[in-house]
Amino acid sequence: MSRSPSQPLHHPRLLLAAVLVLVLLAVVPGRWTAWAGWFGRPVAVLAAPPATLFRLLGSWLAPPKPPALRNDERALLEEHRKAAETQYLQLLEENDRLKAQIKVLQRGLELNPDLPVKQLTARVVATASDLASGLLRIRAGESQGVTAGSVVTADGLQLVGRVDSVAGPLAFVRPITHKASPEVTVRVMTGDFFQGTGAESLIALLKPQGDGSLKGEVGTDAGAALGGASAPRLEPKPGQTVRLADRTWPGAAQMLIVGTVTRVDPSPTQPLRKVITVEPTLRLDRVSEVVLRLTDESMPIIPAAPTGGAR
Amino acid sequence: MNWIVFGLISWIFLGLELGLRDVLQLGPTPIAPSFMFVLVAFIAVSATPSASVWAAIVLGLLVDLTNATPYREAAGAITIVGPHALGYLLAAQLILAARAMMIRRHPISLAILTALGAAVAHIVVVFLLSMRLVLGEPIAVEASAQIGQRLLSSLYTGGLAALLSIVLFPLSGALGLHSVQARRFGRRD
Repeated sequence: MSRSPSQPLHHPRLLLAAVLVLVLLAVVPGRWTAWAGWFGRPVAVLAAPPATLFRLLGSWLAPPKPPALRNDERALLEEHRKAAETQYLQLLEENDRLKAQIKVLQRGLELNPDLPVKQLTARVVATASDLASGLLRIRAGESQGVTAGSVVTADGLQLVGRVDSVAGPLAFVRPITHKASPEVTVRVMTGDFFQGTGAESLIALLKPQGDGSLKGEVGTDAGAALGGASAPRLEPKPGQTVRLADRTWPGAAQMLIVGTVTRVDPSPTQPLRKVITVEPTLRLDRVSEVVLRLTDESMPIIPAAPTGGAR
Repeated sequence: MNWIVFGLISWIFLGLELGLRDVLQLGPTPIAPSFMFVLVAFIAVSATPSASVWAAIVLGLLVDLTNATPYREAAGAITIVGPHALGYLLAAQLILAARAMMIRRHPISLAILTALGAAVAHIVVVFLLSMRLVLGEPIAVEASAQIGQRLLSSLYTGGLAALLSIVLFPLSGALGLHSVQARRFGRRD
């Protein structure tokens, strides 16, 4: 009697064995199943062409909301202004950092020289298909110098997050708004340097809420100016720009835009303090292209150092 | 079942799953439908039991391998093989048991079975990920917060299944799936 080619599929023992293996793989510790990631790479590479195609189609059918600007000229000027402001604030931040490094040098510690930032554009291939993941998959990998911890931005200066892991030609990015992302120290820019209202800022520690926003209490050191000058008591207000000032992040990420303040509430525990809600200037899970800011410094400015007044 | 055509359709559906998920999200929530599960449900509704369960395992493995679950508060992510494969397998079994009571080649039947199956698959996934948490793996999974979103995603997936049935039912022939009428007097699996 001839055997049908599909007969092995009827074998209940084979199915039982497969189920047992899957149950085992599903619950054993990750250090014993790290090899599974290796199988994931070819599958991800294989799935990339249709995923990219459908993503482009999706972006065309339902384009992500563009930043609210009136016309091209205004948008260009606004972009230049933001870039210049960022450069200025980065210089001030750099100045503070160098002062701190001089102090470190004076104590006989080694100085890590700064190296220029290399920018690399990468297309977002896909978001995760499972709700538990929430990572962005981008088409940039080891060969381009992308490493875990590389800073990722979008739309110029909007901080997206950090590279979580690199798998061959692809990398996984964890957005700052991801529920499992660590808290970030930021500066709420209460003034606008180019409008003559100074560059005063407040320090806040923001925690991702999992709904695309970050929330946290503003520090008590209101009035602290970024350049070191004194300022009157400052208050956070909706619409103010929020920039990263977290020393656990690489230097290339400092003063990048985290978002804008959308809500200010009194703290439920300390009424004199304010709790701010910050939303990025664009939906981080809908970006189609990102820019990686690669530096040779893979370590943060001051590893694991406590920062900011709100901590 | 024609496994070559199945492979091709799975590849396209995996692309749809990864590429269109964020476009179909309900506002800022992570509630989104699953294209891969619609295919699982369609095959479980139309194919032989053995082909259905193996197809469910294969599709579940593809979803597992293209997902990376991040660690809590730390960099890095882990590819966990098993949760979706087992979830889809159990869901396929549920659909196989329930399909006798439904009019198989009807969009509403497919939608209901897909929604039910997807809910079962999500519960299995959350259970297995929670097991890892209990066993000490520091993965970023909040079972209580996710279960509601996943159940709503199941309903959404059911709605998508009704829509995709327009494309999927005509593909039955290419996939080598037996029609109900042909099977009624033929060999039983």
